[in-house]
Amino acid sequence: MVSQNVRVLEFNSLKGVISLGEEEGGKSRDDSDGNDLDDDNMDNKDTGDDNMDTDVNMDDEDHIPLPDDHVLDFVITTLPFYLSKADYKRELAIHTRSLLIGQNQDKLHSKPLHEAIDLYLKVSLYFYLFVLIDIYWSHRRDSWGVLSPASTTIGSCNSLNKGISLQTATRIPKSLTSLHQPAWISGF
Amino acid sequence: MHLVLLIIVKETKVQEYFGPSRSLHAHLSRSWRAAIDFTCENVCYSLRVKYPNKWANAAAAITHPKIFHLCKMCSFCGVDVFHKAIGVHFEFRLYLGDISEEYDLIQNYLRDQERAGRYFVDGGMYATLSLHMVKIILASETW
Repeated sequence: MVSQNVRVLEFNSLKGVISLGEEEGGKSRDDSDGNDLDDDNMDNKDTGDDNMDTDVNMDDEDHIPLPDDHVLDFVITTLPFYLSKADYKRELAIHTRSLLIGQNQDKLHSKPLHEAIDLYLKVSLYFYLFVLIDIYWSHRRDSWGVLSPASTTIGSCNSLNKGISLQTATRIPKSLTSLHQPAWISGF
Repeated sequence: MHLVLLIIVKETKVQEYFGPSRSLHAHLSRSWRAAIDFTCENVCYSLRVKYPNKWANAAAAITHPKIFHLCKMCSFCGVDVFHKAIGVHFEFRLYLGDISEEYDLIQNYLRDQERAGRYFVDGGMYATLSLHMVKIILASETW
């Protein structure tokens, strides 16, 4: 019974592949990233790849279709799911915010979409804050890392302690490390 | 002596064929899984070959749990919503039958990083798709 299922599945996939190929008159293959597509099953499928230019031209990334009611309903019902799984992207955050603070907000009768956009913006805000904190801490760690060899050579007698500002922390060790450079480096 | 050798040879052959567990059920489920993976990879491959720029959007859109029902309801009215929204022809009933459980096969495949490999749908693809959809909403006249 299982083997029969396998056969049915393979037949269905074959039908699907054939219909994909024949729907708009032949298949296309992008030769730009051909390295990724070099597979063993390549031989089965590249039957007609002559009319590649027409299909690629139809495949514009920037082309936004003019939506009718069906498409709008479809997009509004499915968008919350995709937003809930999306990574942070600055452009997307800007666009969703403009969607949320739009003029015709009453015409968008979709509570899930509003909630999803709200959640996405909140999460992206937190993400942005975490990135800022991370940048700050890595900067501090780097500046202390530069500082540590100098402070070991001098000892703990001077004021390189907690209350030091970032400017002095970056300025002092450079002058100190230039003193410790061997002569053959400055000779170049 | 001869008989023992024969048994040992046969046993190694069985082990080669059925794997260490030596059960027919495990063997069949393994080949069933391999066939599913092969089929889903073929579908993703042909999508990617035909639509080099939009296949990622289509793959991310397929992972929605209700996408098949939504597209089927609209296709009964004669509207190919999936093609209008994303720009990719995807005949849902051709790949998988009418049983809704079978829809999970390709969705599970697309969300499993080990099985899907380069066809794995990640957060960046979701972000691109939702940006596309937000632009569609902003481009509409009622907005």
